[in-house]
Amino acid sequence: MDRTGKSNPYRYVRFCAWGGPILLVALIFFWGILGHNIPPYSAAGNADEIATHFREHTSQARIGMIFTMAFGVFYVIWGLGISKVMEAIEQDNNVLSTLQLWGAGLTTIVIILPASFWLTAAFRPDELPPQTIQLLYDAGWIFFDCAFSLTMLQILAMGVCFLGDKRAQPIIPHWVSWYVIWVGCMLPLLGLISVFKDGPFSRSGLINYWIEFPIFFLFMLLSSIYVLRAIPKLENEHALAN
Amino acid sequence: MVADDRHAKLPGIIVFILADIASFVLFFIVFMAERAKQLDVFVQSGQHVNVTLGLINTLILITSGCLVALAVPSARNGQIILARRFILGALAVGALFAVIKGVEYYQKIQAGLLVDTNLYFTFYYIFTGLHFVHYVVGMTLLTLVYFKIKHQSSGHFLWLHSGALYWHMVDLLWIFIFPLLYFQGAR
Repeated sequence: MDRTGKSNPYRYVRFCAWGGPILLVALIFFWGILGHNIPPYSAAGNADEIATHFREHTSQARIGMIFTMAFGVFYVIWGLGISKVMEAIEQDNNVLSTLQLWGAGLTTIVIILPASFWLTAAFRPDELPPQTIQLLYDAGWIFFDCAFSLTMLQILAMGVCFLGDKRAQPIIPHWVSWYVIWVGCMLPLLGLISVFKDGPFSRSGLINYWIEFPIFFLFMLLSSIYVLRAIPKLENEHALAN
Repeated sequence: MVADDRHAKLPGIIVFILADIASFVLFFIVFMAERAKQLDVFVQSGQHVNVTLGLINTLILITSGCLVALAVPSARNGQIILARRFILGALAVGALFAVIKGVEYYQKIQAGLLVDTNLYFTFYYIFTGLHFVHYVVGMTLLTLVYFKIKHQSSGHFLWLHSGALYWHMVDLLWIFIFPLLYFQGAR
């Protein structure tokens, strides 16, 4: 079935789909380990604690955040790979794949912009008062978590589209689609970090950090695996149709 | 979608339902852990919730759930009109839940008991709010199921089966939320 009219609609799509795992590894290393975000500093802590960290680990924080910003673009690349698979499922129009791609593109900003706040905090930490460093740190986290609607858009469009696959053997298993939808439905809880400084709903709390981040990373991993598995199936469909 | 899905295996929505229940179980554990730290606050705050309204809402959801449960075998046996009536009944009874929840929220807000009053009320609004979102999704799903059955759309039984499972989850969650939040004041 070739609805695109292209001779090889899946060229580069594998590379795009690998964007997810590449970003995942980069985020864990640069954002998580070098950026000291496993876990982040508690919102209930004092400004001096955060300022001391940025003053004592300036280079580490700078490297972590520069590379987080650099690798962030892989999120939209990954989103394009997912969109190409979604287009092969869509029957009537490309609304869901387009929404997914927009969601992925905007989520790229959610990775890059907070990293720029944290990079600013590491730019001249010795000259800034602790409260200013804390402000930059807080602003980064608030944007990072509270802009959940952009990622939710991507995830829900993706899950709904995959569920609509009418093939006898769906390209993406339905249990994966339902997991994806569940992760999308869990994201609004992140908005609560703007209300709580400590406890399970704070930015370093049990639910909004230790549950939300692993389920999101698992979503990225699972989606990448099943999108990569879908590509040869779609290539076969394309070959048979031509 | 298979042509006759009446005997299809368990719908995929079960993954979502299990994951959702697991997250609520986690929320309940967190609630109990925080309760242990501030026992007096939770017990005193629990005296400000209306147990009667909570109980009425429990009965409403159970009744609505029973009606949905009755719709499934009716549809399976080809009694489409009866199945539609059960769904309509479940929707009508279920709608009362929103009315009572609205009254409850109004009473709380009037009494100055807000989300930031203390940790108990934070949990109260988060749990009942999250449950309410599930309820709205469930009501929407049941409405869709009603029309799917009415028009005999393809896969309408799968929709009914999935909708019924989801609606039972909404019941089940409330059955745990109700004693957890409303019986805190009882000694």
